[in-house]
Amino acid sequence: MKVSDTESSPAVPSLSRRGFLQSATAIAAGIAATAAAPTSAGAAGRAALPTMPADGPQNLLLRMQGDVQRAMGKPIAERRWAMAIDLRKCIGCSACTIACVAENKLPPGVVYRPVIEEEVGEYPHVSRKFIPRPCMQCENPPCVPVCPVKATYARPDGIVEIDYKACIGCRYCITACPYGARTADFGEFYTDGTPKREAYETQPSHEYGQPWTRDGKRSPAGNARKCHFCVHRLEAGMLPACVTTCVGYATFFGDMNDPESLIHEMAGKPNIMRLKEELGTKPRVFYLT
Amino acid sequence: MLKASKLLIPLLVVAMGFGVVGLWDRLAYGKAHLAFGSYVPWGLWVGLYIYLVGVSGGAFLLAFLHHGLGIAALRRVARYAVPVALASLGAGLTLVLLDLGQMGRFWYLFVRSSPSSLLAWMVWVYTIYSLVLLAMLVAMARENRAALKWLAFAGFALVVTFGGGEGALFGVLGSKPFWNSGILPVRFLFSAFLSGAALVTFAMVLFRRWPADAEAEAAGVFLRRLLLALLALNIVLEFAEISVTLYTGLPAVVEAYRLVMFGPYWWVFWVVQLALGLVVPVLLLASPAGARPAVIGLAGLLIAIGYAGSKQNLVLPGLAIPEFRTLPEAFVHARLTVTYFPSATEWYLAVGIVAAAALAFVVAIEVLPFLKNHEEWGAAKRASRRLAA
Repeated sequence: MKVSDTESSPAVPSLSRRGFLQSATAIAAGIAATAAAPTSAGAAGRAALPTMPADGPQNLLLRMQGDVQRAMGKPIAERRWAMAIDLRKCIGCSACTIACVAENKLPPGVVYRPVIEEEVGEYPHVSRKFIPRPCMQCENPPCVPVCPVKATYARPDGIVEIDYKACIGCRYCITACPYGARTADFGEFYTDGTPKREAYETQPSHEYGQPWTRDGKRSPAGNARKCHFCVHRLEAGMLPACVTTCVGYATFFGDMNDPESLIHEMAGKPNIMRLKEELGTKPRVFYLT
Repeated sequence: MLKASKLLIPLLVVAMGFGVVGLWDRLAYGKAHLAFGSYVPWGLWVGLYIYLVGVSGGAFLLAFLHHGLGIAALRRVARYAVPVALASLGAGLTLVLLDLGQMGRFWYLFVRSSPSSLLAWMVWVYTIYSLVLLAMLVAMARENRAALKWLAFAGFALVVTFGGGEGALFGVLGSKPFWNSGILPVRFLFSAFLSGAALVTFAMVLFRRWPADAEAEAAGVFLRRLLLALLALNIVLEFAEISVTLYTGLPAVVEAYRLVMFGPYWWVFWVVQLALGLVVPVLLLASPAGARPAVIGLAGLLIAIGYAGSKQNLVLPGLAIPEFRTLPEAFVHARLTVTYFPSATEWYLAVGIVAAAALAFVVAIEVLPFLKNHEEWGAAKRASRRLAA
């Protein structure tokens, strides 16, 4: 109600989104410049914007993006995508989960990257542990050989892909995954039982580089689904959605075949571990503990 | 028409009505009204599918013992065993077809078969086995004993393959410690033999259309001993599996067995599986009254029911233990839980399809001359051959 009052008030000048952003940027830049260089307090504008510190977390993203773009310049068989998640940095905000849901237009009951929470210790020494769990993109994926119609397979770059057009929905792969990383699409919508299906539910996702528009019956409805490291974003030179949205910069991604990449550096840390390593699946998702 | 058929046919038709409702729901609303999800991705239908396919294999065992190994006492039994095997196989495969997320792509199983997938191999074995069963019916109608013998051996080889293979489908999954066992294929095979033989025994008593002669008595004695022997074998196998795996103390296994024995469906284990499916049949068959056909038939029915419960108790608890203890709480949705109870649609379709299979059997033994009047049918065929010669 207050919003509409404001919008209709002639006393308040109208403010477009672009205008607002320009003003906000100028104000923020001014504040930052004041803090960074008190001697030039009067200076304003782009020239006064602070540069990002060379070892700052934002630069990690830029570095990883560079890693991805460098990897995409190589033949697919020479890339080996991998992810590392720093459990000490994860705060359990689930931003990655939600970014993934939004990026891949996931329907109800389908999740690619839940954040598992566990309580550790006893009162008064209690803490919570957060374990984001994407698909492990295993080197020996147990989900692949069980598929009766060859609808799931490991790509040359290591990503385990599902061919939505071939999957018959037997869900044998779901039972075979020791990480619970596959979910079934039951063809449901968030607005089931309501008068109107919302537009966001029928917008296409671009998984595996193709548009997939949901109607509740056609694929990917009725199929098994899973994380694919946002392969459609990688092909556009972008990082997976969960990596860019991680507020704690706890998720690292890149090409393990590139010794210059950040992921290669992270995988060489002494505090690295993989989930259920005893099963011999050789996950390509590492955890820093 | 037999009195049992007259009584059963209307009941089975009504039960099929439920199946029609379930089928309509499944086709109209897809999987919206099915209760399983992603963490328990298989439900009542998959448990029933492995049971019914096992029943088919067990029924075939009896046909093999007569046509393949020449056990004369099972002449009449073998006549009923083949239609039981065919009907239960059809019901099991229909259930698993309806369970597919993309039913229209079932034919991919034939054109895109993966040689590394046990499931793909099983589809081929089921297909060849169903053709063998159909060929056996034809050979029975023509009284072609030579063909029956070869078909019996071929069919039995297939039964052993898929009987054990079904157990392997579950046993090979390292992701599920409750299933991951080398003895599971053997357990599946012998429980299939037991449940199939038990159901045919029940059918022999319920749909008896021959005098209580010496042959009937010999068949009764044989079936009683066979059921007791298979019960003993199954007890040994199950004890070996349960005791050894429990002794290891692996949390996922212990938790699954705790769920089986003391979880919300404890009665399936203690009442259906153990009391009805094991203890009571052993007592019935081992007692002096166990020589009476009605008692053997009742024991057969109870074993068949008990082993239907045991298959559910294998599939569901194996899935109900999450890969990570708190995974179901990580992202909350009804499809992402480890609790499961079949929905009305699942029950309706299961009841309807089992009823359809039972009806197919009853109609077959009432309509097909070589099953309906097989005493006279055989004599008439032999007489006509003599005349022709």
